[in-house]
Amino acid sequence: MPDWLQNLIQTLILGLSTGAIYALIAVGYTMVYGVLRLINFAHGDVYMVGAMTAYFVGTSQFNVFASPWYASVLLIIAVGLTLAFFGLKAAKAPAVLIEVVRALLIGAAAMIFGGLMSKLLTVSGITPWAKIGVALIAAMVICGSLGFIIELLAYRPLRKSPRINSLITAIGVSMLLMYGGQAVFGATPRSFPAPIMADPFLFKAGGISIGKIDALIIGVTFTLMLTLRHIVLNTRTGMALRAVSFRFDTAALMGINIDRIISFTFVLGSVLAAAAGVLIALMYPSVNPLMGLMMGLKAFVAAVLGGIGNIAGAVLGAILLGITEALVVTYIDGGSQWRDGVAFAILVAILLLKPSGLLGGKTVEKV
Amino acid sequence: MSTPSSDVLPLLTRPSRFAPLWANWWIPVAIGLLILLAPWIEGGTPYAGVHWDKFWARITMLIGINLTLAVSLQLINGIAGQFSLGHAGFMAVGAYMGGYAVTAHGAAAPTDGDAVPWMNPGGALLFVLAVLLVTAVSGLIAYGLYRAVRLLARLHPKGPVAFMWLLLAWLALDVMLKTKGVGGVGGGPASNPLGAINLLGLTIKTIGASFTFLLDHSSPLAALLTNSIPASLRKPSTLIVSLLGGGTAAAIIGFVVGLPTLRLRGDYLAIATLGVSELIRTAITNSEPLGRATGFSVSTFAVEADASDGTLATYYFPWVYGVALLTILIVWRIQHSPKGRALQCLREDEIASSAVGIDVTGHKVMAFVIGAFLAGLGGSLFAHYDGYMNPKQFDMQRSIELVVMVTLGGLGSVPGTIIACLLLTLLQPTLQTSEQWMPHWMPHWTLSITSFANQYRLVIYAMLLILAMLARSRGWLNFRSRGQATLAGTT
Repeated sequence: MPDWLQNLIQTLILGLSTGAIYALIAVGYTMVYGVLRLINFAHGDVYMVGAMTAYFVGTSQFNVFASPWYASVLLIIAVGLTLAFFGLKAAKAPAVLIEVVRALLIGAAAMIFGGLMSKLLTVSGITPWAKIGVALIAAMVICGSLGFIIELLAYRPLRKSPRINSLITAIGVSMLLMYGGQAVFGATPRSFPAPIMADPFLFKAGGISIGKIDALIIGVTFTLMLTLRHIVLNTRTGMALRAVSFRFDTAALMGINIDRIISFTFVLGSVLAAAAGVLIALMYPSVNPLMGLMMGLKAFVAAVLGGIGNIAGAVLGAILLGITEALVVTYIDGGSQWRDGVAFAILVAILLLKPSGLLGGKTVEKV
Repeated sequence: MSTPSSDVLPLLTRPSRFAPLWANWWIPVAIGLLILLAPWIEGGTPYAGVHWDKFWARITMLIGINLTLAVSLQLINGIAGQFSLGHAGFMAVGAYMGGYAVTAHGAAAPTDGDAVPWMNPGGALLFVLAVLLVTAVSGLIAYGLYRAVRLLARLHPKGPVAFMWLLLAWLALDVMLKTKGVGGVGGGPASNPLGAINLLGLTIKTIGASFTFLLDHSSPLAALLTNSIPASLRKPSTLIVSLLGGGTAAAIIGFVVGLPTLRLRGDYLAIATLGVSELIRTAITNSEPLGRATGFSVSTFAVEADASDGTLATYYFPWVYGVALLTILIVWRIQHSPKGRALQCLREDEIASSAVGIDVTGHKVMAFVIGAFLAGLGGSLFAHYDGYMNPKQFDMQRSIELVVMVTLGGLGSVPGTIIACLLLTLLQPTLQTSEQWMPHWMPHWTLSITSFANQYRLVIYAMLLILAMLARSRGWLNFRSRGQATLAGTT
């Protein structure tokens, strides 16, 4: 096999695994946009929280159960919140109060779950791959709860207000997660404990090698995408989701619980973003609180490239973007510095030439 | 009888006249504040017991620059109801353009005696003209391509797509073959069989070559221009040239970004401006003459080498606040002009506005370009603020800070923006220096609170932003009555 072909294939594999991660995030953007017509700026930061959670769970530092004292306080809080939630519901308290308590309750439950998973990993004799699996699940649960809480507290009250208000709120939530993350985790990047492998390659022949991590990323993404496809196309909830994104008001008239579907959309997107966070931390083993910004923007570009609101389009756009970036980095001198610029150049070009994206249909705004 | 939108009608039916004098109470207040502040900054301690040192003089300058930026963003985000997240990008264009014009071409070193003046407005002007011409020509080429694509769509529905693929394939081939060679055999033109059609490189070279004669700051033309300006006016005219150059460059980029995106829904603009500002930052980081990531020293004359506190302010202060006042005046007059009413109208309801005959895209582009121009002006002034700048100063955080100012001040409210800008710009240095001004009798933990607030300032901003939208969506500082220009109605 000639050298240049080897180079090209290797670059394509790199682009594919990066693109797979973009796809996981882009799907969340595109689903939320399809349902609410809102760019969820905080989505990139949910991905950051996923990577951070995986770091703290994977290194067994998720200090919720650091001492029996902490543990009992947390459990008491959780029980108290549960009682308060049902009590307020029974007493028909204002909806705002109930929702705040519900959000807190879900947050506490997620923290407890993360702590348990972190504790689980201190058991000896756990293989690195099992560790990755546990960290992945913990990150998914915590990010799913986070997505639910964000929708409940920040976006739901604004659903009837002008779009610019929701947009500003989304930026506020994103800032809160970014700089709040900086306050909690510290601004220094942490190196993610990559699994130590005797042989990092899954496959190596004829000058082409596929790393185990790359294979894991592509495999996990593929599995998750198939699951997503199944959920969206073959379940009742998925059908409701499609109905809501097709016509919001009419779906409500057909008896669909809009609030539930929107929450579901956010949870689904956040779970996928969490998976992306864990996977990128395996690929580039460094996590920091600001990592979500650029990644979120690129994933959004991928979603626009494919046609925003279209799930298959988001995946296609993400893979195209990943491959383009890999090609630019490999084949252009000093290309690695322009890596982040590629996405934005693509964005401007696509907005100029085909604003509805590669797979998006033409939409007509009705009065 | 049903009306198209109850929010649009009052805006349309109200006659466009000057607002009553008392409605703009904040103008005399602002001017009064400036007059009060001025002697403090001029140096020394005019007010008993207050040592107004260089630190606070600098903060005052920053307030002036931020006023320009925030109010110009208000025009885009508040009055026109679009959402730009890339104001720092326009600021960066202005700063680097203005800073470079002054440093490389405006301040020629004196050779023998006064033969070549130190200040060289002619050289700066020629540089600005050259850059603007190059931008305009490349813009025209890009526009020509765009029109060609449109035309192809009329000839055949698949035309534009095919054209795009051809263009992309050719560009990719061009770049790949040119830069790295094939398969590590070695790059360079020698191994490039398609070197002859390197049209992109050829175009850039041609455009560049045709304007290089303008770039020579010691050319006879530059000397002629410079000598025609009296020596005493050379310094301000260099500054004016750099300001206008920075502003115009930013406006051109605003036009290029705004034209395609403003036809679309508002949220695309947010992402596109954010993307473009990051792109600008990447470009600056990769540019050798602009100092890459290490930064760029502006040979500034606003802050002279041996300046004591006084000279810093006396030269810079009027410029900064002059531009700030000009910006406020422009935005305020636009808001109350027929064009401004049209802008506020389409902010409330685009479809209804276009139904009554308002050119929606045209008005949006106008607001966006003017906003970008003013941001460029602010940026050019910022170049002289430190006499040094680096791309990190123009990152997303700065854009977000400006958005916070505009939002907390109230979308559509210029006085609110001014107050929010003052408060937020003062917040950080005030918290930073809390050990100096905190009275001794205050308990110790107040200091920990201020230092905590200083450290997590951005978290607090974020909370304020979210709470503002949830609780008081017209901004914390918006004192307008509900009858005037609400933001309701768009869905």
